[in-house]
Amino acid sequence: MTSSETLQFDTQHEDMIHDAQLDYYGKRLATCSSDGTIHLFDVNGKQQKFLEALKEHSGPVWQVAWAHPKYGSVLASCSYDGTVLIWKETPGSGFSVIKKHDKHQASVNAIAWAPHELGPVLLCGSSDGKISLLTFTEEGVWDAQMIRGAHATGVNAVSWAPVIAAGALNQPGASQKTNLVRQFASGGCDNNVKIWAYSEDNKTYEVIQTLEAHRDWVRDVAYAPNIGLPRTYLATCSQDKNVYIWTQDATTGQNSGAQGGPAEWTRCQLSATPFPDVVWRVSWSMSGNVLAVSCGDNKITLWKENLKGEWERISEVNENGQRA
Amino acid sequence: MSRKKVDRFVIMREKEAATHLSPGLFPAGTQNEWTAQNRTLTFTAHPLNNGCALAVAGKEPRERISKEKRVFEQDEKVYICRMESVPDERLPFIYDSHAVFMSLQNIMKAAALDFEDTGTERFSVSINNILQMSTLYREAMLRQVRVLQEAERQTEFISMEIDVFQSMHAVWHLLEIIYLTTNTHGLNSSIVPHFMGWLNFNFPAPLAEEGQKIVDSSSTADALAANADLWPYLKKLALRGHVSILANMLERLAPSKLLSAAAARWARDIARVSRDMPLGSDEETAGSFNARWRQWNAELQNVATAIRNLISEDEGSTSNDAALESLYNIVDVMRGDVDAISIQGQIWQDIMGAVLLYNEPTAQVDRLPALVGVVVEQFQTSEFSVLDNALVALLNHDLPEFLVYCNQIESWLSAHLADIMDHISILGICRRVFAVDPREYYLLALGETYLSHENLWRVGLDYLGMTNTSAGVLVMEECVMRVPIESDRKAEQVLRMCDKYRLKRAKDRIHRQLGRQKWQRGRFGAAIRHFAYVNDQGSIGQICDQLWNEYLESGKLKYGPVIDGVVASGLRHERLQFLTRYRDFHVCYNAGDFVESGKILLSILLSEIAPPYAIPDLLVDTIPLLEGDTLVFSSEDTFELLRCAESLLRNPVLLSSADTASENIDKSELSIFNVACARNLARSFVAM
Repeated sequence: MTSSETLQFDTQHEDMIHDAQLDYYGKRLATCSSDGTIHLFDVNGKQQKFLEALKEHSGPVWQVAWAHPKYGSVLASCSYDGTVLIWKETPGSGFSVIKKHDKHQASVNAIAWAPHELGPVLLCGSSDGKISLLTFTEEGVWDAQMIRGAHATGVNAVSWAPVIAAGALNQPGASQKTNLVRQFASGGCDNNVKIWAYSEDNKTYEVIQTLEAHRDWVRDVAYAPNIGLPRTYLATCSQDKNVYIWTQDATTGQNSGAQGGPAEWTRCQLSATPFPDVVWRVSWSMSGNVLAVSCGDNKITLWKENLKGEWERISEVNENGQRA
Repeated sequence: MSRKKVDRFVIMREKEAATHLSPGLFPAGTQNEWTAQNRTLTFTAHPLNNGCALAVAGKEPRERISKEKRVFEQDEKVYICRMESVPDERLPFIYDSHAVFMSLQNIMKAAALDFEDTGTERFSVSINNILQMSTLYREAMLRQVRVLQEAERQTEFISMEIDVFQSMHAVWHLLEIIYLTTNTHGLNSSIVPHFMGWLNFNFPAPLAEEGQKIVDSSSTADALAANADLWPYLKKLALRGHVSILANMLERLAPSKLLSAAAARWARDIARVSRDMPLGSDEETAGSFNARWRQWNAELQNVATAIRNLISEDEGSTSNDAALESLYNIVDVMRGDVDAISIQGQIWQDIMGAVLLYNEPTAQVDRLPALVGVVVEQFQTSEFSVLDNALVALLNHDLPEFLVYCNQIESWLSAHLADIMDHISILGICRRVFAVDPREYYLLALGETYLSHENLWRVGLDYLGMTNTSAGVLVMEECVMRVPIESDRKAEQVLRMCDKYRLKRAKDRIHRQLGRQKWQRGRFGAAIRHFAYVNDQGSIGQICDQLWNEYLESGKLKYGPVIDGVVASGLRHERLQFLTRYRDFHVCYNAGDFVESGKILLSILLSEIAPPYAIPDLLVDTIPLLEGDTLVFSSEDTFELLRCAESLLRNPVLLSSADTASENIDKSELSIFNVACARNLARSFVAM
């Protein structure tokens, strides 16, 4: 990749960036920084335009997340100041805060919007060990549901499962509301990855499985989008320098195993040997067939499952342009 | 195919040169320093392609690391990167080959329907059509090579592109002759003439320019004999089966006084024998051809023996007859001596061709694996290029290995090969070896590379759509919803693609998105039409309410053209009906037709098409008609108006919203309305 194929621009932040997120169409970019601000840009081919700086947080902003466009132009941000803000754009007057969520007692490290089929629901993970779900209800108000003790020493990452179960795409009624999968995964400082499912009886999310494999803090978790494969894919990465791909077969169903419990997860180590440093982030491509991995050695590697069903590295972006 | 072989490719693939960002995000050699300074890389995948947004990022927040603020220039930068980009030079080829691809899918679809309907011999019908399509693919590749060769600026990139397209052509052409040409009824089923055609087209030798140069610089037979390039050239001609040119050259050479009498004589004789080389035809049986071939080979054998004897007699003499020895080498090749062929051949393809031509002139495709094994044994295969490996795998009929290598040459090649292999029913073996369907896998990968290109997104969608799998449809659906819609024309194109592939969910979503977009831009008619497609009554109602409110605020009824266009398109909606009828009321009133305008107003109120909040205004509109000189409302009409006013006051919706109620129901106006009704009642009774 050469500079000519890359759009490069100054974000105008006054301190380190922590996150950069493209919207649903890849036409807008939101960046957030230790300077406490969020900057928004229009990105169009080889051009970009600074739109607005959003200043409401009182500490470093960790992550930003764009909502599905059916809800309008809506952005969420979470901060070291312990708050989550939801911003909405009004044509002509820019973005303004429509909700401030301040029920956490420590830094909010991760946020993720639920698949749009589940409505406007924002999942938040915090260093206070709690997970919260912020839901815009039919009554037009935001409801905050707190899950205590999710990961005792802090939550680092959250990710929603695809709403349509693996292998169910061709089944009639797969996309009907009653059949939608309501699950998410979280990773924390207890080295665990937890799978949570919505309980109709208790009207809350409950842990249905704990995936224990990492030997240090889990830094990121990411469900792959469902593109009709017969399995559910979950990627996790950790301070222990490993990336695991967890798969769950659809044959026994996503929600129930042979004895009525959840189907088993199978673990596969992405790379035969551990990565050279802490792995900070894992992210799937839109079609779910390419996994990007960001490692502390300052390389981002792209991985793809080959024809044989094994994971192979297809390319990397490193610090100085050296080839792998 | 054994799994072991696939493993080899996985390892090779990992070693492959990676895409990289140049210049890098960090200054070269500063990785450790930067890591110690709390920096790493962050990224987000692009929603439409395999690109991403990249930035140098802080691992921990400022508060946790230090109060001292150290900021690097790179802290401010964001990079939007494309992992795979389509060079502009390729666009004509992509369009051409996409058209062929789509035609091929249509042909196969039609053939399948024919097969179902009439039970015709689908395979034999299709194979000729597929061969035509295969030829069109090759023509597109050759055209691309010509265009690149004629480019004004010959850069390193252009040169690499030429190599890629020539490699793709060599691979495709070989597959064509093995699986299509020799399968076509009515043709000689021997692979040999086709293989030689393939070899001399894709790896031409000796080059025509070499021969021309020799001829140009040697006007006489003596000059020809003295030309140092002559014998290597003649040997190459023999190796590649260019026997007519060989004969011509030998005849031109023979009169030279620089040749010994023996060499001159045998040059003439070899020229004659070369011209007699048997050529097969569709009409001739294999037995008859073999008999002629054996006879010709025996004659060559005699020539070889005679020349060898002469050379043996000369051994020990001081003057070697180099020309005679070269003639012997040529005859040795032509009589099919494998050792002689191996000595003369420079690349494995040379040897494979000569062995086939002179040793097994009637060989069929099933002999290729054995022969290529013998030939390749003589080479260091570890030094083979990817193209060599792909060709050898194909000759070995090792199709899974072949596909993997082809993908390393170019993703276009593996995708289109997997497709055509599927159509000629030879992809089954790959499906048994691989964990996923190779046609789907490669077509999806190719389609995705085109999606984010502003001109190729439809091409990309076609490749996804033609996978004919649920994964293809899903990826296509996700992609089509993310295609940026910058104009009405683009919107139409996107919606057409949705229709083409029956992407109802995506189509609905796009209509909603377009509806919102138009609404925001004040294009209410277009917005209503989009919402109507998805039967979004709520949004249509909201737009109508907005039009009504704008009328109330401005006092000017300007929405006529908007609703006319929508209503003309056949759309029915209660609110639209209300706005239409209300506009009609205005038209009649302004024209002085008070009776008609009164009738319209009353019908609006009685049909209950008006939203409750508009009723107070409608009642106020009746006041001038009630108080006018002309009697517009009968006593029954007046009672109906009063009933409307009564139910308005009892309306729980309006009553529950105190502000709205007080705003909409102006008590003084209501009193005037009541008085006007009373007066009108009195007038109507008198008139009775």
